[in-house]
Amino acid sequence: MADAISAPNPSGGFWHRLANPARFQRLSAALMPWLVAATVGLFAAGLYYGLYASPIDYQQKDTVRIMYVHVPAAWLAMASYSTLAIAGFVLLVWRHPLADVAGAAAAPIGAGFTFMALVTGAVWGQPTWGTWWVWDARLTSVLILFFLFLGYIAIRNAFDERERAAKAAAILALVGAVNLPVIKFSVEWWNTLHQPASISRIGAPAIHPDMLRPLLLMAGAYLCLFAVLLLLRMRLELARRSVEALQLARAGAAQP
Amino acid sequence: MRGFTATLRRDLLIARREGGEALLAVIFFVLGTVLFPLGVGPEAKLLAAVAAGLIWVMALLASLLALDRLFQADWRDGALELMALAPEPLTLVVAAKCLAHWLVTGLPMALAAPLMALLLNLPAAGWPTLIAALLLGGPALSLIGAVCAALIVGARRGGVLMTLLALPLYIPTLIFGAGAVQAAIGGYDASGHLALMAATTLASAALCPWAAAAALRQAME
Amino acid sequence: MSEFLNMGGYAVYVWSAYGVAAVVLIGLVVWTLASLRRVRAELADLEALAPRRRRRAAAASADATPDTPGTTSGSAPHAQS
Repeated sequence: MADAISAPNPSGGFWHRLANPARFQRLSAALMPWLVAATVGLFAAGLYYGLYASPIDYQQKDTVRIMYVHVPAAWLAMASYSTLAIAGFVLLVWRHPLADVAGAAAAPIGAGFTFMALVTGAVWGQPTWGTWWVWDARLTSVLILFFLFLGYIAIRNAFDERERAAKAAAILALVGAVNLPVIKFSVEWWNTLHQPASISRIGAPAIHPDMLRPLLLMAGAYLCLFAVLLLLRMRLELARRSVEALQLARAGAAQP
Repeated sequence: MRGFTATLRRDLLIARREGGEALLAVIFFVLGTVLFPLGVGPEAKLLAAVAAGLIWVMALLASLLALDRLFQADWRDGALELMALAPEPLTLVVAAKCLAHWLVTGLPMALAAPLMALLLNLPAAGWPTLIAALLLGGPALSLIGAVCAALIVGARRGGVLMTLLALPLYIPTLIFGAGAVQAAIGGYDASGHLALMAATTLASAALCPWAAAAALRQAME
Repeated sequence: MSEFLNMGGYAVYVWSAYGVAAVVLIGLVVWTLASLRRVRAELADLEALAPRRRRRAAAASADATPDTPGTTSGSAPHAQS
């Protein structure tokens, strides 16, 4: 199957110039200190407001502070999956060489955020609803998302051929992305069928601005940390591929 | 269109020649369901409460069992490559294979559903809805499963991986299907659930053969 | 201060939740950095071993797009399990 674009064109557009790993390394190295600074700053502010300078909830008292680590984790889990889906789309449509690297890098990060959302959700549920796990619509959706991440990681590891693994994972990510809204809708539908009328959802809709501030700060901190981790893991993936290439070259040279 | 019917006929013929293997899914369906009273006790009310969901979960699992063979056999003997190179679009071929799969597994399961309902003490009000839901939703299971089967063609331990991929995607079908039956038992109108089920199947019929064909093509590159 | 730590009686829950978040996030960072260090060491070893000519060739193939079909090293057209 002939493809129109194969080698990165040095005089091509921004994205194609970025495909050169050396250029990517330079750009990510330039961005890194800013991202790290932003991450640290946002965490400091978020934790100060979240743990100290924000009001307690009338009903949930101090446990509402768990919201500041739980809800952003759920948001970042969704953002990570979107990264997988976008990377898959870019790989299949434009065959950008860094797309697969980004997908491989984002998957474990997303799984980590999802896991965090589940555990903090459970910890929040115990004092609020009296039980460690509740089949709340959001928690159930996050649990399913966790399995989608595991499936993505599993299918990457199922093939030795890197290209096949990359494309299979890309298609899976897109299929999952299309299904996610359907799954979320069906889980909410299921929840309303089985829940008695008024169990307040975690993260009630009308949120006081003093609570919104730490929430958004922590969300920003998580997002910057995601960016830092993504760039680091992309570098890791590129380094792994260099090692592989060198090992293959050595093996090839060693043969008589 | 000829390619569609030719593939359909071929797959049905192979299934008939393999005889017992096609029935395996239905046998698993029944046997698995039988295990539950043995596990939780024969108390009629308990079984009736869980019957709808249980039957649906067993239907999902039984569908997955038969999906492994959907593409693997053709992949191994090279028939899949010939199908990809043929003038008929691969999408159509995949759609035909999905239909054959449903005729051989999903349809018998829907017909076996009254037996399941009897064994699990499902209230009579739910029986017609159960059959209708299984008939409407069975094709969706075959279609969504086909995408997962196509993705793992040629992979090691593909069968187990396919299960991990398919089960989350099956959840909407499960929820609408079991919900329909439970609504019927409760005396409510199940048509909303059945409509959602039908919508899922139609959307799957439109999208899944195309996605599965794309996955097969990149497997053969 | 003790009131802060006590979190209105919900200390266990609030601090566990924040603790889990910290463990996961810091764990991800540490794991990534450790892997980076290990792989970079491996890379340095391999580059030291390979003679200059082959090193340049290997570096060139590592820089080239890994996505060009047909040139993925070591892959047969139809890999079967």
